[in-house]
Amino acid sequence: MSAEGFQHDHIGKLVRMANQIGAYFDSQREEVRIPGIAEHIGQFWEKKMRRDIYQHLDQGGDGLMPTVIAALQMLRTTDKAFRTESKV
Amino acid sequence: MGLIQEIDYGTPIRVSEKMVTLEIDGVSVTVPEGTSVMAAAMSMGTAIPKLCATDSLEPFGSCRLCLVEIEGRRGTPASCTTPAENGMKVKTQTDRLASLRKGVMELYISDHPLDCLTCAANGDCELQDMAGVVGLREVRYAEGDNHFDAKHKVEKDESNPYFTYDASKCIVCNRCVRACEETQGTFALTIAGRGFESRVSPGGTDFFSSECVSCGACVQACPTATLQEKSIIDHGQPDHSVVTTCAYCGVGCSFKAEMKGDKLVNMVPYKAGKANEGHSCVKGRFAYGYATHKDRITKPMIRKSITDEWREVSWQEAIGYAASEFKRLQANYGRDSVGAITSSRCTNEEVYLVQKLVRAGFGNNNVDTCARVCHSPTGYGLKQTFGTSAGTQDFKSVEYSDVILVIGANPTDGHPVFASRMKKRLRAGAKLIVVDPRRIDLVKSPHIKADYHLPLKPGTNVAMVNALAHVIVTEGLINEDFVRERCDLDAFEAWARFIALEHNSPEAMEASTGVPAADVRAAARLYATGGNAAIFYGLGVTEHSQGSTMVMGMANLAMATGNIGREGVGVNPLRGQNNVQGSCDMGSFPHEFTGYRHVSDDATREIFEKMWGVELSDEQGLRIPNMFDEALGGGFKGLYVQGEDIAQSDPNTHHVQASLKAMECIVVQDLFLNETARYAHVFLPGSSFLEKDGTFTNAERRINRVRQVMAPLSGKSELDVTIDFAHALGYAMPRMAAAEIMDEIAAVTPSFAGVSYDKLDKLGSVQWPCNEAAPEGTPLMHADRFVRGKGQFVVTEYVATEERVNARFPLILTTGRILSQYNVGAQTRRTANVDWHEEDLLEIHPFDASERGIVDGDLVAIHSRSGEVSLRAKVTERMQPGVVYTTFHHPNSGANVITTDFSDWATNCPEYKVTAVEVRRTNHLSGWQLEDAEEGISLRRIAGHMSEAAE
Repeated sequence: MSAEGFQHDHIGKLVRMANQIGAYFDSQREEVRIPGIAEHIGQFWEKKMRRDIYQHLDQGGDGLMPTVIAALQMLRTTDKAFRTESKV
Repeated sequence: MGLIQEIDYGTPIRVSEKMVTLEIDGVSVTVPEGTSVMAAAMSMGTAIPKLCATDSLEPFGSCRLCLVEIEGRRGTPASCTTPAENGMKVKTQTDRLASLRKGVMELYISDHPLDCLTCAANGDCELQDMAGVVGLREVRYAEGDNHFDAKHKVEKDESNPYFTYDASKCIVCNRCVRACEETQGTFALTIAGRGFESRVSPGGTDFFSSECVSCGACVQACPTATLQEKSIIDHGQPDHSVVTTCAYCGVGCSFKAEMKGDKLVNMVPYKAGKANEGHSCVKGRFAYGYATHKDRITKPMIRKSITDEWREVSWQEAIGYAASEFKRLQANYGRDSVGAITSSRCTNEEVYLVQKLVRAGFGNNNVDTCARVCHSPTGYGLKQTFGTSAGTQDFKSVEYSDVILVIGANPTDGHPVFASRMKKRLRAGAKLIVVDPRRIDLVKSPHIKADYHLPLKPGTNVAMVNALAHVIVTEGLINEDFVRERCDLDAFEAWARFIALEHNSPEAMEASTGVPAADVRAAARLYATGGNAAIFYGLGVTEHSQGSTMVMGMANLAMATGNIGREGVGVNPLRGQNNVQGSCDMGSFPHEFTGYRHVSDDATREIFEKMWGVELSDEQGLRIPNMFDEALGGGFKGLYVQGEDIAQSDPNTHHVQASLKAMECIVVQDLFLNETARYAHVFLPGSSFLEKDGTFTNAERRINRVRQVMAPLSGKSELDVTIDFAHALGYAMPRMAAAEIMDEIAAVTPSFAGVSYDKLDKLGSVQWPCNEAAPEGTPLMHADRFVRGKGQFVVTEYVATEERVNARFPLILTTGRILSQYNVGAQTRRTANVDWHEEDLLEIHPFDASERGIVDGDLVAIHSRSGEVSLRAKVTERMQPGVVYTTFHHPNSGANVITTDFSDWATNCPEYKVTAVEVRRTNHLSGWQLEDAEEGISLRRIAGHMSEAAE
């Protein structure tokens, strides 16, 4: 049961979690959909998780729902933790 | 100090607006209407002799000892069955009464052994007391038929590990039978035989094999040594006691811990305890032996690598090593590379210090608690809809419910003392709807029958709640006045339009839930129109990928029907751990300080920065599942685990184990070398609830005192362990006692502002919010307004979980608990409770079993996409075809090896309740189980100790 042998798709998991949030907000009113996703990720996802998903976004955002992509783009512009970092 | 004695009024306290005034022995006394003459006399200090009466039970009137004379009435009525009335004139002591009572006692004693001096009840025997009270001097009846001499005596029943039944001492007062009926609601006892042959019987078998659940209510009610605790038989009568709170489930029963010196001899439920009112279950009352079990580790230990032996060291060395490691990790990998998990079983004060250590000492917000894996969706869902992340009522409120809706909970197993209350109300006529894939006991058991059992497929909760709501909206069953006055109308209208859509109807949802639409419609109508309707729910709601959505769905139901804000209604989460509510309140969340305030909120953060004297991070930290992911990614390296066993309790064990192995320093603070400790580098011995002062907060938001019975076996309080760790890290955390820590909590947390140990001592307990607006606490929430102002309806679209059955994994596994074992079993497996549950079993429906050639008792392999384990099968019709079930009380069962990585969208609460599996017969344990058994020994070796077999 070694750590090295264990397969873990970190980005795959983050994409799945983000899409789950997206699926929930899909059922909410249109005007709160994208801001809702942004606010949820902004309030609950830790900095490294957000950094990783922004990086994934920069690399094409494969697998992310369109509303989630829009929300991440919106969140990023106000994300205090990354405001001084430049896009990779 | 002495033994705390509680007054026994003889008959239950009656509550009434109307009062009556009567005269007893020439003294005027006023009592609520409905009070018995016996209780009225006791309230003025006159103890009328009694044997069959006790105030936890309805009056019975059989012993004929409590006779009184009432002016104007014939004969000598029994004071227990006679209600007090205005103008009554009662005499409790006359020559005639004295003679009658002596006669009664003479008859009792004629069939009773006279070995008082060596009897276990010596000093605590009501029969002995009454013989003394009536002045019995001789027993004139000649030797004859009896139940106690050598010729007639029946052997003692010692089958139950905790108490004995000695029929030779029984006076057939029926208290035990009545206690089992009225208090516990199990109906395991009866009186067999007639007349002189009447004997208490647990149903033609011995106690252990009977339906008895070992709650001890009969033992407590028994006035003689007939039903007697084995601990009293072994040790004698205790001499002093303190009131403390149980450390098992979220009911939070109050107990009198009765001691001899610093040895706990007996745990007796405290009648004045508001959560339990004198009742308990097998765990709280009897299963406290784990605290002094031989597996207890009492010396700090360290090791460089997890494959090394543990080395016992001093406290200073252990804490120094832990601190130096954490400093190294933060220097090499960054400030955010370490974190902590607080215990939901430790006190509020202990938990507060750990989150303070993380925030002020580590400098980050990487702190989380086991609520993550159980009720975090409750926190999110109720906050969104009502504004507060906690239950709305107290347990007593169920007494006013007309309709009880139990969803995803099994209270007779998981919250037994609350279930007893619920069953009492059900027997009195309340209606019951059970939403559960399994046929739990509440569906049908003695004197209990659910009006509707909706056995939905696991994973379809939101489909079900939407279907129920659809009926209410489309059939015009909304409580419009309530909605108009108390809720946000725009949100309501949007929700009502959504829920009325055809795809939310019971008929459309039937294909997903598997429940006939007609039953759903009938249940919905009952909930909406049956009177006061209360929802009680558990982890069958929260541990799903739509857990938070379901909580909001239930809140919608309650708001739509006006079932909020008064007694008998509400949305009631049955919280699991003894202090999970407390650890949430104490800010053990990566995103929240105490009182559920976000870490990014500047005003809140300033309060803490001022109190703690350091700058704090405004960035939310890692949740437990995210800590594991980051560990595998190389970014999270150090973990301080207080009283939590993630290696056993968290899902997807392969993932957890790999993550723990990827960390460089794990500090475990616990009572035993648990599964997580196998991967630890520092072990700090903790203390059980008997060894500490503090508070626990139960599912009612009730803050209860925990009082120390004995000194910490490790020599150091857990408060001091955390404080010393903080000091070694360079943060000068002030050394404070529990009461002072509560004062600090009150100073920084508005909902706790009025809480203090003085107040808790005075009032017994307090339900938060407790502040200027509610100085004595708040039993009922959202009475006039919701905490957020207007109640918020939320659209809850059903989204099927990604965990799907297919040909390869055609069955769904769901998980749960049983009565005698508690969660990971760390405590209960180290008590005699193992007699009831030696191993976790896989419950499977006969149809699924026969398709696979499985019979009861077969070893079967359960295989999911995550892993495989082997368990013994139990074929039972409690399951439905397509669904299998197991518990997780034994670590080597590996129930979590098969659970998945899926979790609730909002909180990451793991989806324990839905795992696609296949089951087949096997003749060996799984690879994981074999490796686990071996590692259980190899990773637990302590230098200088003989190696012992793993649990």
